[in-house]
Amino acid sequence: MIEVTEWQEELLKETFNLGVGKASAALGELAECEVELTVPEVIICPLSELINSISEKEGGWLAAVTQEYSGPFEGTAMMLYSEEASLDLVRLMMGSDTPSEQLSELEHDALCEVGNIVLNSCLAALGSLFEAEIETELPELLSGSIKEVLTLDGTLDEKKHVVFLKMGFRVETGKLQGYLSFILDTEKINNLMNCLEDYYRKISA
Amino acid sequence: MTDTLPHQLLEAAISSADMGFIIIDCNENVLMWNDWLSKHSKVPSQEAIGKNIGNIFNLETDSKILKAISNALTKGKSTLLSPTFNPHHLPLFRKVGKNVKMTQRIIVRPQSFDGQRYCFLEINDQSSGAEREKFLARTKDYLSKINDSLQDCMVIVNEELVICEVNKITCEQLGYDSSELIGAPLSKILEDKNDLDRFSFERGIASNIINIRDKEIKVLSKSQESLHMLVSGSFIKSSDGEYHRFVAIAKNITYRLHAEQQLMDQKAQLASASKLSALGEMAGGVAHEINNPMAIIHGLAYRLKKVLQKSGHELSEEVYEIIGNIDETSTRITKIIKGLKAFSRSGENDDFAPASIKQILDDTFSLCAESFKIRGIQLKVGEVPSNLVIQCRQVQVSQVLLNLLNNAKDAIAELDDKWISIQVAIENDHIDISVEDSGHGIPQDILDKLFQPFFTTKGAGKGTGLGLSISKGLIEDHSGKFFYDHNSQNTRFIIRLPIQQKSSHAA
Repeated sequence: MIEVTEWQEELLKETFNLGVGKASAALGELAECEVELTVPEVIICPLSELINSISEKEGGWLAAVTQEYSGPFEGTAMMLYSEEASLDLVRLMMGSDTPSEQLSELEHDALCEVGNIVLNSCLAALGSLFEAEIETELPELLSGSIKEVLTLDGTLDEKKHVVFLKMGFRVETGKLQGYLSFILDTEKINNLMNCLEDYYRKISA
Repeated sequence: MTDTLPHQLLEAAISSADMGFIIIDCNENVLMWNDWLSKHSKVPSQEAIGKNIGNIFNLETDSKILKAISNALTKGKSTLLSPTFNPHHLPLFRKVGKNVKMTQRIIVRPQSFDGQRYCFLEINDQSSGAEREKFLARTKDYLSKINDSLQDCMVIVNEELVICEVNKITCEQLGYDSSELIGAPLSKILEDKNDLDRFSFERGIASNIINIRDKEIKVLSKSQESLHMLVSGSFIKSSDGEYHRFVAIAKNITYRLHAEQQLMDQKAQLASASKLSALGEMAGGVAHEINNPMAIIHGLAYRLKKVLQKSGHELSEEVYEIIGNIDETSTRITKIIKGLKAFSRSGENDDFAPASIKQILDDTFSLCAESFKIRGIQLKVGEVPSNLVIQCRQVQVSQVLLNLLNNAKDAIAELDDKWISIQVAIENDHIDISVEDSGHGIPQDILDKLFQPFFTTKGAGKGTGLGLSISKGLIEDHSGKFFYDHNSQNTRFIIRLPIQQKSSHAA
């Protein structure tokens, strides 16, 4: 079990808020309107625990923009929305009001692009915090049950941990609630904690 | 695999690929520029190679694509530039020679090789896809606008009689959200489940019925209100035979049926009202006819008494008592006739003339006193000054009073405590005649409609629903007010009449 101290949590929250802050500026430019992203909550826990707790809250299907990343710690980053919210998100960004039950190809790409911007920004913020480079792969769109999406292939690896963030998305015309998650192996999460430790030592020295 | 794959073969594959492919070095200079790009950018590869990518395309330094390239080269980030938000990141054209801008999907990817960072750009032409989606979106928008513009309900069901689509009006009229209807069985909104048969695909297709026209069915709203709908519709089949649907258009005729029913009721009430008026006339005539013989009986009784007194015979007290009874009874009949005569005249052409309130009250009571007595109703009349005179149409005031008294009589018939109280109060320039009964007031929902013509709570054939509305009209003709007293614990109406009419009304 990973113990996260209050300051570690605060530091992560601050870092991610910096990341989504940059992302919201980029998204605002894209959608030509003001976009506000906030990360009010950070949880670090084993993946299995998260799946159980989030399944209760968000029944049904999720749409996720996933992006592999590598560097001092590697894993999969995800931006998660309920299927309905992901449609709303795209529509809010595209400023369209045509109701639809499924993503068209353009909307599919749009969602990937939005996820790409948010995840890249967050990972860049993490990278600059640790003065390390985090490389990213291309975004992909996944949809399925919470378990399917979070485990990527449906099999739950007990060793995996997750940094999980609630993310609020707001534009003039509406707001949505989604999540960000960064899945890491146990050893990698230790890397992350070490990085945090180093950083703390550095700033307090 | 790459060990055995000749380098030139790989290069040829990339060069001839049906997509744009650019390799950029860490100084943002182009290393590879394939044929596809030469074709669509009008920049041949020999011109592009070795040049800065920004310069080739004349890109702004803060353009998304240059940022993405720099992100890949310096931070190792992959970026997707979808055509959704900006379809034209690079000045590429669809067909050589024609300046039709290409809708592009661009992938920007870092690649480390030999300790150096490179950047790959993959560019896909999404123009036809984008056009197709635009067309689809436009068609969808068009269809949904048509659906929503329909002023009647539209419901589309599939072979299993499950609702696939509803329009806005359907949701409005049935009180459902579209999500509550779509996916629900049609039976959910049909009051009579036998009506399901009308939409049976098997029957429809087997018997070659492809349309139904103006079938009346009852539909249930969310609040379980029954709505009458006139349904027309057709079975449709997709051109590939994949699906069948039934498209039903339903017109809500509930209000029309209501209105028709109301009209019929009103006709019936009018008929009974005119019958009553004929009866009134007849009563007037009969009263007149009886009046003369009555006067004779009255006179004869008087004469009989005189004759007997004169004859000097010793007669028993009983005889005088009988004569007294004849006299009294004939006087009462005369009074009733007088009231009837007064009442049967419409009075609308009468002039406003000074009339004694006491006289009006007495005349009116004479018409109903007997029926009150029979029903055990106590009539309490407050003090009325005998010299109280107002300018009015006596017949009409009497009619209003009688109407109130009769209403009160019917209303308290079933109560244990039965009384009706009449009070007259003089206030400055007007008088208030209040008629109060032992009933416990009138519920608010009935009060709202109380003075509407044809509104009645009495059973069929008993009331016309005209009494109070006519009464109100008559009193208002007197520049007076006729209203229900909300402050009273019991049922209490007030007739407010001016003592003097304005000059134009006066005789």
